[in-house]
Amino acid sequence: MSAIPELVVKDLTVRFSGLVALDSVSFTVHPGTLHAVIGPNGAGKSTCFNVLSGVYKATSGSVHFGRRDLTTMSPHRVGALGVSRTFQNLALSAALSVEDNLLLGRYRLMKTGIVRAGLRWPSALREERRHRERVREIADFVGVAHHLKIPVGGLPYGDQKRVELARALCGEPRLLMLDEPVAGMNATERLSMAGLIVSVREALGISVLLVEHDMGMVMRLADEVTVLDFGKRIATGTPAEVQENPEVLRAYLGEEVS
Amino acid sequence: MSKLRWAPLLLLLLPPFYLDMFWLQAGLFVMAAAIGAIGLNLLTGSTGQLSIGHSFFLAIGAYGYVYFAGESDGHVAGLGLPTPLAAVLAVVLAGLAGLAFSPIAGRLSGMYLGIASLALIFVGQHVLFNFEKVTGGYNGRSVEPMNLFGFPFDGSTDLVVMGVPFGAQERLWFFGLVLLGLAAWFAYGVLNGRPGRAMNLIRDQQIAAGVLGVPVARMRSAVFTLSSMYAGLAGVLLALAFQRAVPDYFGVLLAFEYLAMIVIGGLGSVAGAVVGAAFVTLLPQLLTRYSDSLPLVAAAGGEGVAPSDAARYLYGGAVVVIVLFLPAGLSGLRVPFLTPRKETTP
Repeated sequence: MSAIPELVVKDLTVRFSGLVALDSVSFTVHPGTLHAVIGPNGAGKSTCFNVLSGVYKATSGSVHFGRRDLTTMSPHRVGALGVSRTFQNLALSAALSVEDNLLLGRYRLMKTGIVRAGLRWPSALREERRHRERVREIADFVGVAHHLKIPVGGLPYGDQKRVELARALCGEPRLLMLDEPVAGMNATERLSMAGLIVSVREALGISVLLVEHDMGMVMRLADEVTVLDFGKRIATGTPAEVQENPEVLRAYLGEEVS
Repeated sequence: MSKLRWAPLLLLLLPPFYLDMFWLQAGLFVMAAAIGAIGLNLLTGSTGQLSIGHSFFLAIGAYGYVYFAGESDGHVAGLGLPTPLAAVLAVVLAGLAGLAFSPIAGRLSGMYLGIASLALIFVGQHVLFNFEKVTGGYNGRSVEPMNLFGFPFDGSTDLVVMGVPFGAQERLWFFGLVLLGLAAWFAYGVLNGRPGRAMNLIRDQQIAAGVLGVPVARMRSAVFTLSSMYAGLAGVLLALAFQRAVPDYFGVLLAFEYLAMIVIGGLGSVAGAVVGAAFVTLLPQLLTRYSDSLPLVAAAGGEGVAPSDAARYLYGGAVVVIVLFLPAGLSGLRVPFLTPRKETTP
């Protein structure tokens, strides 16, 4: 795998007509680290994610992944650079099996088009077989291998979240972006998901950008934390530093009435 | 075991030896409709793109064939090409027409494409009625019989197989079966492979599809083109079965019948398209045939509901019942030999 570049977000601003969703936000995800973006509801975390993955366009500012400028790229070109993401509200194809959903994660690594697939061209069959093997490995790693043939829609929520993560990993990413990976999970599921994220980092050495509400998890996993509030960055630092920051406390707990 | 599951389909080889003209003709219409419905199901069922313009592409296939294969005379023009070549060109022409529509088919999603594609029908009807040199105008024009490497698909030469004289219908039956078989086989390959997965994700999660690297607009255009080619092939077979192409047939009602086929049979499923095509195509024919023994349905020229109207009420009702109680369509009923190995619909 090629070297992991750093992700540099610089003065990123996003406006939806009158509403300023992000107001010149800057941060850097250093290669191989886990960087968390936190903040109260409506702070602009998901907007930030959508700009990084090319779904929204920035009003101004820039996003660079190594030397490549992602700011104006379409989502599928961002994906082609090795940036994979999960979605906060599951974005799986419920009717397809887990295996097919994971194969979709490898879509851009495969080549077969309509004609070759329809004619069962030998190269298409070979490609299919090769990628199914890799999908099985990844499913094993994430712990969903026993569900491979089951339609995703029939799985419990926690397992669907794991399939989302597995699908992102199937793209062989260099930067993995996780949008609230434990939202809506119970304590046991949270713990095992956190364990999974740690083992992804250890096994693959890739950068991870994490948006999460679960403070305990962020503080335990993150190397660095960026805190957003009302679209503005109010702090960046190690989890310990951020926890002490009075601005952050104010954003989360409100102002003390004196 | 999995090899044997397709064995019952061999029964489809028998009808020409036992059934009369009426049934063979009806069967040919079913095969043609099934090819068209498979194409529409790729677009609407699997990719989530509504099209109410499908009969436009059927017309292009049918008239493309009669024009390429037909001879010029005083009234109509024709190129007089060999019939197999004419059939291939007609399918290509339908594909090109789909491709020409792809800037729209790629950008519009779901319902909006449906409304835009409705315009095609009105344009198509206007052209069919007025471009008399090619279409023969209101009365249509006759269809050159298929002639494959010197073997004619009409009654012009004597052919007796196992004591059964093989005329046009018997011969076309096998021709239609081969075309339908190939069309279904190709569609299964597409649906079970990389493009099929992408089509399903475009239907279910369009944004995620983009993020995962699926070029959404290009994929939609490609599927629209493919579905137009299926419609073109269906049009060719329809023309051969009818032996006459009439503009009136390719109207908005036909487009809705195709939508009824895929909903009744099962959205996104190849077998469903075939079952739905059989249901929608056979119903009016059966009601016509047995109108004198059925209550409420009028015999030809008699009082009561005309068989074709009665058929529409019935499959209108069937659509409602299926949407309510059988979301996977008739093919979701799990008739063993009609159930494909993998369903791509909920």
